[in-house]
Amino acid sequence: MECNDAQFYMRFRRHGPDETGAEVTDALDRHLAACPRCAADARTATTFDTSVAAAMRDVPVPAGLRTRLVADLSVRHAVVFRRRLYRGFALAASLLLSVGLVVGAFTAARPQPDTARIAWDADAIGDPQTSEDAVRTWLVAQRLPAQLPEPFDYGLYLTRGTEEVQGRDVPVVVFRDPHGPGFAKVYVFRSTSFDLKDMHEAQSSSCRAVPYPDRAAGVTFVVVYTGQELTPFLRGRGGRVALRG
Amino acid sequence: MGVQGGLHLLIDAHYESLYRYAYRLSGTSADAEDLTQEAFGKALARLEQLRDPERAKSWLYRILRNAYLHRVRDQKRHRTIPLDAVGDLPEATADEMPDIDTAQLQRALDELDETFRTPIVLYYFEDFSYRDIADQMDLPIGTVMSRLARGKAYLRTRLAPRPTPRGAEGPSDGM
Repeated sequence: MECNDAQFYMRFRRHGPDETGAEVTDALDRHLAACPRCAADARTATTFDTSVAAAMRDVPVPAGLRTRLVADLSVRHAVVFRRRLYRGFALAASLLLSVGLVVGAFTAARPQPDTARIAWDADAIGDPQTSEDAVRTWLVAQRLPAQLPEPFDYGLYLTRGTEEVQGRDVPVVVFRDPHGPGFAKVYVFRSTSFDLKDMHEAQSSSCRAVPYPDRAAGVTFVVVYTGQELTPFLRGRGGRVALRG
Repeated sequence: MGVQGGLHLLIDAHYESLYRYAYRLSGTSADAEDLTQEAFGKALARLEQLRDPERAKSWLYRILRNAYLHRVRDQKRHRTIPLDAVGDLPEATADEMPDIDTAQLQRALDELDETFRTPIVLYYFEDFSYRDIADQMDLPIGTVMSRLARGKAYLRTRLAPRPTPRGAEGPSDGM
């Protein structure tokens, strides 16, 4: 190692742990052992570092500093604790308020059953003309033909709505049997939801299903009824309209 | 152990060295005490960030330095010496170095820009390694070594009894 290199590395040689690495340190030590001038500079640097380090640490710590720090931290800790507590309360309160608002809104939105309206609707079931008008209006609102495929007796009308058939909702009108627990249901299948080609009559042990295609309207009515004949459900107890076929 | 118990342990272990570090950074005992309090206060608020207790000292030093930088960010408290005017080669000084007056040392430190003062203080004060200082200051280790060399050279010109620095009467403050 040359003097210039030694002078360079001496700047980075610490008074404490050496961080220049063993290889550099060994070479530097060998040079310092052989070069009196650099060795003197190294001694000077070490002496300077030792003196500065001693002076640097020579700072008297004020009496009572620890006590003041602990007291200050106790106050700060209480403030932090209170702040967290308040934040927790505020969060809980806001959650409660939110839940209360949702429950309140839900409760307020529930309608009270209108018994007068229910009684009036039940009255209407017994009136054939009112029932027929109501069914016609409902069918039109569903964008279906206003007339059912047979002249049903609306004195036997029970209800209307939708039923799930093969996973799809199908409009249906229900009539009761005047002589027993039987019924007749009129389903309206739309061509947009079902393949309506080649539908045919079917018979089970107690029911019969008869399709009535209405190609112009894009629907097929299927009348399902108990008993041997549909006649008991029809106005005047007989006759069919010309929709069939 | 609760938060307060952990903090008391931290205080007992580090408050003296933190105060001394703060004093060497700020130059006054009042500022040093305020900074020490502030550092422990911030440590309290962020105690969950201290995952490795072995790193507590470095962590606290970093908090304290940040608090100090925050204080002086918008105010130039000291006229500092541009170290471009100071060479970084070791200056010839006496073999026998008399004790250095701590007040004189503080005046010399006060004249240094913080970017030079902090590594000097950490270097002499706590035997921080170059790597530790680089981590504290978010600097490459080469930059730390360069600043240390120049800072030390400047301290020699201010603190060594003789002879006068080569080629100059003393460090020009350039102002």
